[in-house]
Amino acid sequence: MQELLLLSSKAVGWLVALLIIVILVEVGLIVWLILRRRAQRNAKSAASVIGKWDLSAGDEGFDVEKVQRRERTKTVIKDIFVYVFLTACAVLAFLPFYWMIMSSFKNEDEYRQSVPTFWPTQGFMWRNYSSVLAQADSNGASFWQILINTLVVGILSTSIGVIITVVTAYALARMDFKGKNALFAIMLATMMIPGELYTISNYLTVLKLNWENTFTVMIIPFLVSVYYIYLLRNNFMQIPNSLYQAAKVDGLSDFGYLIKVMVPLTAPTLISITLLKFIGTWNSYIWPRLVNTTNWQMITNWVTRGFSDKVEPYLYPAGSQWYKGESLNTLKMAAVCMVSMPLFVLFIFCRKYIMRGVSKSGTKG
Amino acid sequence: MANKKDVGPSTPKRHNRFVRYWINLGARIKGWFVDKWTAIKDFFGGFRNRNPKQVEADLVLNDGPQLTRGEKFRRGMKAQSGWLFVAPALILMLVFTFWPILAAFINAFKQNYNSLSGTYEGIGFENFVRVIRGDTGTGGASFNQCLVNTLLFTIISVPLSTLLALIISVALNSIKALQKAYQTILFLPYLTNSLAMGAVFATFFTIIGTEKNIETVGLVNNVLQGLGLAPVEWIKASSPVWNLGAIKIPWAKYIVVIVYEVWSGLPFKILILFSAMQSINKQYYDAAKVDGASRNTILWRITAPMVSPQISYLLVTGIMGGMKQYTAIVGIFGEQMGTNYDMGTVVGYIYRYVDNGQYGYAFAGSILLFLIIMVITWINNKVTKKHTTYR
Amino acid sequence: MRISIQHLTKIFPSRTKGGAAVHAVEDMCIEIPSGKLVGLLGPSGCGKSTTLFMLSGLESPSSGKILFDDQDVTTLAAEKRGIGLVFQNYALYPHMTVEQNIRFPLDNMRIKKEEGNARALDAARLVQIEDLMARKPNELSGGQQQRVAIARALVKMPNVLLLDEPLSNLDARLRLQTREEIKRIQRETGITTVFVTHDQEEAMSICDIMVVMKLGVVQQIGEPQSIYDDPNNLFVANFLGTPPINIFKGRIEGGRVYIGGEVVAQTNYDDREVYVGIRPEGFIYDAEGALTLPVDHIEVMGRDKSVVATHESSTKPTVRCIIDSDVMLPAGATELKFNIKPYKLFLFDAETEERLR
Repeated sequence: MQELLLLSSKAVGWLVALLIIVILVEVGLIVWLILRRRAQRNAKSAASVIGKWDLSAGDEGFDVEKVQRRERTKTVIKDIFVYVFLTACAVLAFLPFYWMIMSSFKNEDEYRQSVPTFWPTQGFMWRNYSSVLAQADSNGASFWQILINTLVVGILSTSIGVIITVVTAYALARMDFKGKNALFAIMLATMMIPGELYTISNYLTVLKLNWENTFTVMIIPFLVSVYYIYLLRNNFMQIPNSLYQAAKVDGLSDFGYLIKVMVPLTAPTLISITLLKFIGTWNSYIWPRLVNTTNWQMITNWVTRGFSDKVEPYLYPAGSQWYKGESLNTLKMAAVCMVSMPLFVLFIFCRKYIMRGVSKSGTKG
Repeated sequence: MANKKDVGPSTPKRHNRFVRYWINLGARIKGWFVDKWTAIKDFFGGFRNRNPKQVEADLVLNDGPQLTRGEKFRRGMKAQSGWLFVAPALILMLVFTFWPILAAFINAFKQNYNSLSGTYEGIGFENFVRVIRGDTGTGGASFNQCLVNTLLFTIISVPLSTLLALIISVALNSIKALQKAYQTILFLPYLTNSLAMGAVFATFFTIIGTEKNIETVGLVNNVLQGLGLAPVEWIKASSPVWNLGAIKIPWAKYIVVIVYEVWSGLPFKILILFSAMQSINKQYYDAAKVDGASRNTILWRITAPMVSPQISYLLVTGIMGGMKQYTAIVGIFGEQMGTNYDMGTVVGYIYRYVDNGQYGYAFAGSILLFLIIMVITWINNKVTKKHTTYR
Repeated sequence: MRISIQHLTKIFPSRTKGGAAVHAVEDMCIEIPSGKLVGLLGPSGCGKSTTLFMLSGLESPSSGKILFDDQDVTTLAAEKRGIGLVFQNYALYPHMTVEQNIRFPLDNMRIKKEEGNARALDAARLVQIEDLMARKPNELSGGQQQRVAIARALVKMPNVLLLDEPLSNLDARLRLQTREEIKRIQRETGITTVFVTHDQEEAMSICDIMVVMKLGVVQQIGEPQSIYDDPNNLFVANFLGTPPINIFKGRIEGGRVYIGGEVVAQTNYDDREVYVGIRPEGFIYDAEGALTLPVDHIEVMGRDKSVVATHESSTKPTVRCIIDSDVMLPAGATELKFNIKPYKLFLFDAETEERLR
């Protein structure tokens, strides 16, 4: 049984190699076909075209059945070609996730085998997860502490940020005030400037304000994202003016119009923005690392640290080479899984909004 | 003002001028508040209690002479109340965007700038000179090295992943069954934490070595071995690798980054190109079919030109994003970005000096990055204008 | 090229699960002689566009046959049929210039550059857009785009030219001009042409042969004038002509046709309930006339005048009678009497709505 599993694992290794080869061969084939077509086109003379539509005549007569059959074969071959190609791509796209999940269930010995297994052949190590969950660093920051940090910061900065985005976008789209266009232009211009330029100054500002190790420092500087304002403003602008006038005649205030008409109409964009902003917070790494010490950091910072078998109950028996020793890859993979899973869950439930939002904005938050 | 005619016979008591003045003033102040209160109430409470004619007049913004003072004020306040709405965003941006940008430009020119005391020794280009000459006294990769790394990653991975994304999108666009499923799976890598997935990629390529009698060469090397090739030391191993027969190739580590960049860049590009292709009117394909265009012709003469705006958009954003990459490198090579920052990127370089407390160099580096991005944008605009065929 | 459509049927599966399938075209049989301009006419959703797309090969029929000359092309792919198709909204490739658009089919046929250029220019001349060759479609007006689309369809010298609602995206004045243009081009090239329209006036004015359709079923085929003068059924009679025909509920009793209590014509059909259709131009004012109409008002249109009347038996709210402007009508009359031209009066069975002939 063990050997069978091992063998199958080896087979999967081969499969991966095969997939890469398939993709390379297919791409090569496409290029070759194109080049051949080109050459053929150049070689063919115009003379062969004359009488092409003389449907009844022709060299061997015109056999509709035959043409049809040839077409059908071509289509089937093309379909097989395309599906094989796409499947290969899909497998390669998914492979890192599969590897990550499987590795998180292996024990360290199996993980480090010279021939990798594609399945935890030595049993599922669920305890990898409990060990990671129980770990705390020297400052006492456990996974839970970090998760709470991330959720608090994520929810607060997302909700406040979205409100600011809506209000600002509304003013820019619907209201007339002096200097509006200049203001909007300046805001857009800041998108050209790399964030690093002001991150450093912000860091110094925060140091001066003694804001390190607070949630405030994680929330305030990133409330305004010009791109989302821009996106939402454009969305607002698309709502016809006649709707506004109709609402006015119906006795709706400006504010009421914003809440009761514009927000529902642009709900898909708003949901996308909310999701992407939250994902952005979840993935933030640079800023929290800069301004906060471990207790106050975010989930991505937590992943970068090493995890070793140091909490009781120990995963490996005393005397084992992994016992309290070096940092363990399987534990790291378990941590990576834990950070990635919420994103997947979010994706499963909000696939439509996330994909729409991404295709519109193209930023991670 | 206090006109005698105002105080009619019905007034029960006549006050003297002084008192009258204060009463009048009080009334005016009260009126002022009432005006504002009505204005605010109108603004939030709507026109519910006003007659339709006036609403209509409002809509056409008829500035008739019959407007009362309150009405005038209401109009005036409403005309500028936009500032009230943008104020939160504006204030935040002033503090955390506009001012910092200004500060960065100023501080970059201060030599030996101490952020806490605010002291510095003279103003000049010394920071820039030192950054460019690699004369910062900390060792590790120079700015130029980091810039070369960044450009290398970007220039190879962005066109590669765009081309691959184009091919995949075309394939995806040509199928009917399971289209959504493939699209979803291919989009998955987008939603990842680049640090976490960088770490996973690192394990694919890492040779853990012969330590403790375990010969682990990493998944990629396993594939190589399966093909009968020698394993390659992709990422510098922590322990000796020669008894595994691993070969050292100096540029192998670049391949790791490029593979990761292509993998992580594909989903977004596929999404954009695929949705662009989906929105091409089916009639163009019908027309092309009637015109006898082959699949190849349709791809290169209809589909590709029609998504050319998206392709150029992807190239531009890809290059911009590529110039700012940082976290993926940390994920793969650790916080030291390889051995002593030899895989450093421009942003990595900047943050390294932030960590070191040498803010002058960090500012100088970030301004250089800004200038480089400006130049690239400029080139992009030139090229795009020439080659985007329509729209 | 002669086109023969035999028992052509197209059934679209229902969009919703368990719903009824849609019969877009049912058992259509038409013979189109070579070199004719044929109009498929009918209200929207009558299957005329589906028929056109089946002719083009973009849509495949559920059953039945299409023959070009004697060759069965039913299952042949669009690009092999040698047809030119002009789409309703032209489908000009926005990224190509006019010249590139016109040349596109030739490129696909691998025709040499010089020959291709010459043919493209010929086609452009035919539709009079040779000055616009370097422009992109979005720099052209609707009418010009239409011409480019026609040139693109003609440049490959097709066996059959198909036009899908060619005039519907043009404004009224341009429409008139373009339909003359289509007629001219068709005459000059002699290509068998099929076009689809929902505008009966448009079809009547340029067609050699007109095919009237309703809900996927062909109602009548023939020359426009003969269909107008001799409609097969109530639908056809109603669909053709502006202003439309007047329809009255009537009956046949003992060889006389009654509308209300008045006898408007003689007939030799058996007694039954009928619809009596009278073309607006079929009325002759006569103080002693057979049919009395309460007048609502009179519209003077210069060439002739139009009496707008009501009648309790009319199936429409108003009855329109068009009479010569030199016929003097009594001023202020509330009722007018008319005689009916017998060849402008059609009888339809009240149940089947078929014409009584």
